[in-house]
Amino acid sequence: MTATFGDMAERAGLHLDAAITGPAMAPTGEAAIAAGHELHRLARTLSRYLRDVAPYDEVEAVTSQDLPGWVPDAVGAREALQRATASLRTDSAPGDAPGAEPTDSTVAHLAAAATSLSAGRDLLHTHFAEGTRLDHSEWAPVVHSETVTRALLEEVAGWSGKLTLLTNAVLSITWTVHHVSPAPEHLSLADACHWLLGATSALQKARLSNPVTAADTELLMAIPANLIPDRRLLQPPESITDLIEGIVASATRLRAIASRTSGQAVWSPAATTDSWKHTTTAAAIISHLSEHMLRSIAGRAGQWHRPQDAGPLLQAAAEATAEACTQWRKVTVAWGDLCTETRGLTALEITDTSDLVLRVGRLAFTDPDWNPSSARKAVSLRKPAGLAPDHAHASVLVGALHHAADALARVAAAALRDVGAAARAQRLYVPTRTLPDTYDIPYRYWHAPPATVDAVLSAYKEAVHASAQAAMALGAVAVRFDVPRAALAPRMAATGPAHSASAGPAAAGPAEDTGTTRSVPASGVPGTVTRPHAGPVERALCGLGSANPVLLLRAKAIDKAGQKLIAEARSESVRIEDSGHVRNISAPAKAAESFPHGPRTSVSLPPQPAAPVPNLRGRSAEQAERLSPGGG
Amino acid sequence: MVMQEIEDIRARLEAAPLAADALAATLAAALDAFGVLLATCRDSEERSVELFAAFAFAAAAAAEGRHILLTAPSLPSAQGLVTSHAACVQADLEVTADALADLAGTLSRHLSSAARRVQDPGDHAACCDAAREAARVHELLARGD
Repeated sequence: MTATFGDMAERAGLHLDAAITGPAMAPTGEAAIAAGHELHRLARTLSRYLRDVAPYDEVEAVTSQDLPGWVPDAVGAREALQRATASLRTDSAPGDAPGAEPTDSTVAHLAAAATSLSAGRDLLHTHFAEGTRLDHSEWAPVVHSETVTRALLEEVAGWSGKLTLLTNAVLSITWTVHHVSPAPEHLSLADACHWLLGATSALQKARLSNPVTAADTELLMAIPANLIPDRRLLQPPESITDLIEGIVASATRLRAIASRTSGQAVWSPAATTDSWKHTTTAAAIISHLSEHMLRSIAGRAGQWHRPQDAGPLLQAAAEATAEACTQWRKVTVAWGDLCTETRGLTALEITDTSDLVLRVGRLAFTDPDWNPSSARKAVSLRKPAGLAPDHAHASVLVGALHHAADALARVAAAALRDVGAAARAQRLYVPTRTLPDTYDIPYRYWHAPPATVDAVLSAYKEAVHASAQAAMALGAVAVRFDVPRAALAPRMAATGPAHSASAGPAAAGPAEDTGTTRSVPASGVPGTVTRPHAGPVERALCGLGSANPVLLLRAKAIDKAGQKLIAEARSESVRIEDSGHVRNISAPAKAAESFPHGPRTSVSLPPQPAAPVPNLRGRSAEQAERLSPGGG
Repeated sequence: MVMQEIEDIRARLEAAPLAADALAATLAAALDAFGVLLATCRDSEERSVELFAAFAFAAAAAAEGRHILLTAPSLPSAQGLVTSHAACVQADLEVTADALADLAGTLSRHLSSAARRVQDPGDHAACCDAAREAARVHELLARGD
């Protein structure tokens, strides 16, 4: 079972409550110093949470018009917490040995709460590339979504209030034992109380301007650590409940794997055309069987009391799933005779796509041991009443199929990214025999013609779009069937039903930058406003993997200065034009785009191919052009 | 029409070992047999929910078998440029599946037999691997009583 943010938050809350309501702290100087140390840790962690959700300086928070209304209060609270942290810092080490359990129970609760809060923040950070805020998992857009930001502010406000109470209590103790606690420490604690009160007050204001719902908090608490969950082994015969849980487990693993393999196709021997082709066939089968089950239960929807439009909704989802199947089948055809220099079903996702085929098949058919080879051995399809006897069962089934479709959309986006990378690294080949006679090559394989690769990439783009549409349609049905948002695929859970009902194709793509222009939005959840768009210089730094906050801040300042300069130039040009002078100024966008956007492309050499495959690294672009079918 | 094509290709496979250049004839016939399997499986996929998965994986195996044979050194040079066959699936899908399973079984036997006779390691590997893919097609489409 993967740990969730809710586990950490609940543990922290219990310890803070125990510290407040439990036995009073021992009236000793040592206990007071140890408590001050833990309060320092707690205040520091809370300020870091706020830095994560509102990474702006005070001036920027107040002057920028792009930011949501709650940001100035959150930034103010963060500054107050930082000052409280500084006030609580003590040169005196706690009396207990490092790593030992504190002897005082209140101090022990404070220490445990600080550890849990810190672990909770670490858990959220696992969804980003190390040292950056670049997305590293399917949950990353959820973590920096407006929904979760709102819920996190609410939690931090609650913790800050408790911290204020506890600091006051420790201050009382230090006054009691003033003979062991020198005056400067009283002043520091009093100072900290002052700043903590200020922070709590600012956070209350932020809460009021950005009210949270129970669903928001539920989603925050459901965020898991970014780990690939354990595989759920097939153990036939599995009940429908087991099969559905297994489908969700496999889908979750597939999404996690898709997020982690970025960049590996350039060099990894595990990234093979055999794996991509197998996954493509599996995706078509999963989509086809899903479509059948949706049509099957749509015919039964009239027997349920709610939702009233269940039948048409299920039919629409079935249509979207059928389209996904069609597009996946086109990918299998487009692959043709392409191959990589390494072969075999070696990719990480193979096991899970196979599990998904088997479980979706065993859900669709009555045979508990169903597999593709048993298709002609008197298998029978499950009847609609068996699949979904009532509304509750239908909602669970739709939720599982939604997870499967969403996972396929992620897999398609990852494959599009990886196949493109493999092509750029010249890892895609075709048997020489399939090339026109103009190719006079003494090898069994030769580099794939660009047109062949383009056909595969185009087919994948359509599969990404169609699968995302299917996932969205199924998500919309799931919401109408009262499936909790936290139980949906993360992307859907963050955007919510209102968005999902009205979202167009542009919102349908997985929140992962695959480098394509079709239906794949930029990283982030649509509607997220916690972070304004990065400018070209900031993007360039991010592309270089820079995590230095000073550099990033400077990049932001340069971008802003550039924007201002362009705006000034534009207004100047308007004035010149108005005064009758010749106007010849390029668009501001063009000027902005002249900045470097990313690291200089470095060509990573793929591994040396097996003996029959020629080493063609030295081939010039001109030669490549000449050798391509269209190159003459 | 597809049944006739399957019969013709079966006849070519059976006759290939008797040809002057038996290996080249076997490889050429096997390549065309994989082509027929691939095109017919793809055309049949959507005609049955029950058989979709079997036909889809069978098509994938046929495509792989075809790909393997394209690298066999003794495959005649004119072979391989035609990548699809115009399959016209007849009404009874069960009959088609039976015929395809039968063809795949025959194909696997002939390729295994050829692999035992050839000297060239490239041809040997191609025949062995392609025979395995044909056996996979047979396994997916056979009734398995």
